[in-house]
Amino acid sequence: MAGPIRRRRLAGSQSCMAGALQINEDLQFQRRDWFLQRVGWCALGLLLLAGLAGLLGPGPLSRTTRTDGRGLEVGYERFVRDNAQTDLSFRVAPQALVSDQARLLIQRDYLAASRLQRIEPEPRSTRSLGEYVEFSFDAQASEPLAIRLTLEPDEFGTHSGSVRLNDGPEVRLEQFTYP
Amino acid sequence: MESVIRAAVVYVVLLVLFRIAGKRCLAEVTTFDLVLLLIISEAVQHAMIADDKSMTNALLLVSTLIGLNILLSVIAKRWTSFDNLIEDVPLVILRDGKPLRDRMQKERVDEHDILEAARAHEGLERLEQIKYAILERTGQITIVPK
Repeated sequence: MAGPIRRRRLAGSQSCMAGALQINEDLQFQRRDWFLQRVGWCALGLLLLAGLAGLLGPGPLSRTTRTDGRGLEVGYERFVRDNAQTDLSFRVAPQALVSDQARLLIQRDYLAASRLQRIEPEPRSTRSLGEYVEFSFDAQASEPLAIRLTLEPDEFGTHSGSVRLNDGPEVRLEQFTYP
Repeated sequence: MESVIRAAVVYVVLLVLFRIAGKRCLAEVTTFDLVLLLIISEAVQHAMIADDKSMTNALLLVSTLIGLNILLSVIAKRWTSFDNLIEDVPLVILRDGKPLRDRMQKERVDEHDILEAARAHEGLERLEQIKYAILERTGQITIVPK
């Protein structure tokens, strides 16, 4: 296998002769290239695994819930993508309602980073309250209230914001939006 | 501004991905490769145009892609090492009728690929009739008959 090809390299030159064949073969470069290709394959594999796991967007490691300890539970995706819809779901326990009403306060800065697409159910009223936007919902005292906001992130980067129910404690949400 | 950045990012990512995939990736387009190519373009399309379907955006994107292509070719002309980096180098995979197995294995080509190229371009029947088989940077196998 050795033959003329072993002798053909001109020191320090890209252009080599494989016997009579004039060709810019470069085995040293080629070996490095193969190595980098393998490294690239591993990186690609890791990227796919991260994607499956939900580190690059919605997925098992991305979905999370936070609670204020008084009957409000917030479910959201830690990792979302620019221009891709995502849900923010709230579950309000019956004991957290105040006279059959839930007042949900969401920090305005957090909402500003997304386009609000939909709220289910429709709030009875919406108003601005300091640094918050307040959504008021009617509810039945006998059963928990489920609210879902559909958002479409508009800016990439890290976004955090807090959510409160009535006059309860703040629940902080941390979200990363991929481009 | 965003259009140019989007196109540039897509260009660079695709360049890296296809370099990682090796010389043979999408070189000789089989039926399935063609389908793959279409799916890839479909998948990338939205990343580039985002929500902007204007003509300005389209022209800006195409200009960016072609501009980058020109830029890279100018740099590649000046520095051979950069040329090798983005365009790869050719590789002899068969000499004097004998396949160079370790190289072929690394590039994922086998004797049948060489024979196929030999039949197609030179009308040869056997490996012994080949002096050199070269895996070119385009991914094609070229044949020098004995």
